[in-house]
Amino acid sequence: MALNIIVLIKQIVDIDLLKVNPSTGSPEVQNLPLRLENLSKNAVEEAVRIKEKNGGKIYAICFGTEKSSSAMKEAFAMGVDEGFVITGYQGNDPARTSMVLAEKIRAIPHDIVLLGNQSAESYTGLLPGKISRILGERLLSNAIKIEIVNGRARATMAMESETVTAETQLPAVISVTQEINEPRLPPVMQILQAGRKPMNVSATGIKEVTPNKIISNIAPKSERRKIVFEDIEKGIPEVAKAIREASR
Amino acid sequence: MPQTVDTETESMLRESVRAFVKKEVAPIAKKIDREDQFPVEVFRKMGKLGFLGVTIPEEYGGSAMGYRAQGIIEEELGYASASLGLSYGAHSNLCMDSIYRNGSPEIRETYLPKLCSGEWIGSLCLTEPESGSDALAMKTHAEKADGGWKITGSKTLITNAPLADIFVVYAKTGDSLSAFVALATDSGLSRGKKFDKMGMRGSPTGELFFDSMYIPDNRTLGAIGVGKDIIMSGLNLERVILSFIFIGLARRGIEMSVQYASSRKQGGKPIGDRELIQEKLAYMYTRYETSKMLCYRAVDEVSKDPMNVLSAASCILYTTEAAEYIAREALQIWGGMGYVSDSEVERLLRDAVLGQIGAGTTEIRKKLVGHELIKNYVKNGRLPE
Ligand SMILES: Cc1cc2nc3c(=O)[nH]c(=O)nc-3n(C[C@H](O)[C@H](O)[C@H](O)COP(=O)(O)OP(=O)(O)OC[C@H]3O[C@@H](n4cnc5c(N)ncnc54)[C@H](O)[C@@H]3O)c2cc1C
Repeated sequence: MALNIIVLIKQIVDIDLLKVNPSTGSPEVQNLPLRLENLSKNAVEEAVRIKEKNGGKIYAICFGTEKSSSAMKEAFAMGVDEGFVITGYQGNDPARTSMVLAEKIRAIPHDIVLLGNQSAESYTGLLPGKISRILGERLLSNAIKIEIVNGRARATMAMESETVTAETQLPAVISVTQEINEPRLPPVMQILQAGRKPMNVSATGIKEVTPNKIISNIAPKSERRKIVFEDIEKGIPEVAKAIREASR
Repeated sequence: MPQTVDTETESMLRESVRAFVKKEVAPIAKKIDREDQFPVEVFRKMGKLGFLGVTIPEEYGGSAMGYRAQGIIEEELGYASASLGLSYGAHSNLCMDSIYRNGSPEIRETYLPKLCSGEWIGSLCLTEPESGSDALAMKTHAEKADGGWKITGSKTLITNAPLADIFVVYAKTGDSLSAFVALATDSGLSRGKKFDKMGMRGSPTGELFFDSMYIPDNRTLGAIGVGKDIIMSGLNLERVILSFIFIGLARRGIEMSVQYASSRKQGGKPIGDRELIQEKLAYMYTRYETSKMLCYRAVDEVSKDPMNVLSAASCILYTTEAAEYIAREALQIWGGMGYVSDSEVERLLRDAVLGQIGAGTTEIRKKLVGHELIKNYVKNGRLPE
């Protein structure tokens, strides 16, 4: 059964390169390169695998900025067929983001909506639930395995201490975890085609809803002290002494 | 001006190759060197991802991105394993690209898809025991036979020869030279020894012997007698593409040097605080950046005109001398630990040395650059633009 799959993707700064300003403790995000977020890659990878098994078409939606076309091209190179970039993202506002995304999702006939279970930058984890609620579609969350069986979605989901397998009718919203797969490296042919796939860019009209106020994003002060013990003879007692003193 | 900044597509390619190298190549680079083993599985994966056929059109299983893309792949491979870069170059550029540029439709259709996918490994055979720098003085010769040619002679120092499935072979046909496509299964072809080398270990180098090896007419590469042109245009492309391995290697050398210079303390402060070390870093970096610009300029020029000897020879002349210099200085910065075979720096130096020998030696490159400049001046009364 051919499926229409929608993947929600997010573009964030390259977290690997993120540095904390040592004097203020705040993250320095300016001038960092933008990337397709890792969990979004897991979602895209899963969409591609589902399509490979069942046939169909993959759409990606990215609520971002004018710069988000590069994230969309990364998703194209991994196998997404058509993209929608919605500009106007202003910061973490899950209520607004879910409304913007749901509006676009509604406009595309679909069987499955895939997204990461939370974004690597805000960690709210609110979007899967909100989107499922707005659309009125069932939610399977934190999936580590997805199968499409007899026109229904079956997901194995990672809970706190156990895994649960559940099934639902389609259309459904499924959030994935990082464990679900290993995102593929885009092959050269797909990289080349990425520039030629249809990308629709539009601005959202939905205004700010309840923007989250950032009370503090200052990294806790941690002083890393590097002590080198050169005298092997004195060994462990010296190390123990240093730890005892430091933890006082 | 050379375009040294990647286009969007090129930077996606570079990221993909870099991620591949980090995951699949870097972790085994030391093993490849130590055990002198070519990583066939990794090579096949490169085929799957489309890295092997970037200069070959889609209809034959490639992607037609071009020589810049091939350079980018070499640069990223060279950073982690120059030897894999060398075997990649021999396969994708020396062998496969020559077959594409000079092959008949039948030859292209039959062999390119297998080479693009990595199912087959390719090799190019020019050097002989008695003709290296003076390659055109080869002794291997082909005699006309019924429906084909019989080739007799031998080749040596051939990259990938110990495991290749397909070979571009040059041989004398009367007074001229011609190119042929030989297969590992051809009767009369046998492999000699695999050399135990100082560097570029894991990129197998070996000998080949041809004892009346029969090659049917439909496996001549280009017309009979045009071998010299095939060699010359191929050499220019090869020189530029192989140069990219050495900018990757140089980047790794500088990275390791800066890392060590900032952490190794002597006399109470990091050695990087010493001006003699800073001078090394300054020259290393400047030569690296210069090499990069030269490579990206040369690849654009030689893509347009494969007969551009000046651009190709000056590019590889400078880039490989710079890489050897950088690797040597990196080892010096690492001091005694650099000389220990567990350090990656000593491998960089051993690998870098090949840069001044393969694809024409430094001496031959100097000769070519000098000769081209004079020839140009006599003809046009000025330096080339
Ligand atoms: C690891 C490795 C991989 C290789 N892969 C391939 C391959 O895939 N295919 C292939 O065909 N070949 C390959 N070669 C061969 C390589 O191209 C030759 O080694 C190179 O061209 C030099 O030839 P030679 O070794 O015979 O040295 P020679 O030509 O004997 O040179 C010896 C010395 O004399 C100098 N010299 C020679 N002639 C002159 C001159 N006219 N003026 C000034 N100095 C001169 C040289 O610069 C050198 O210093 C490979 C070699 C190595 C080491």
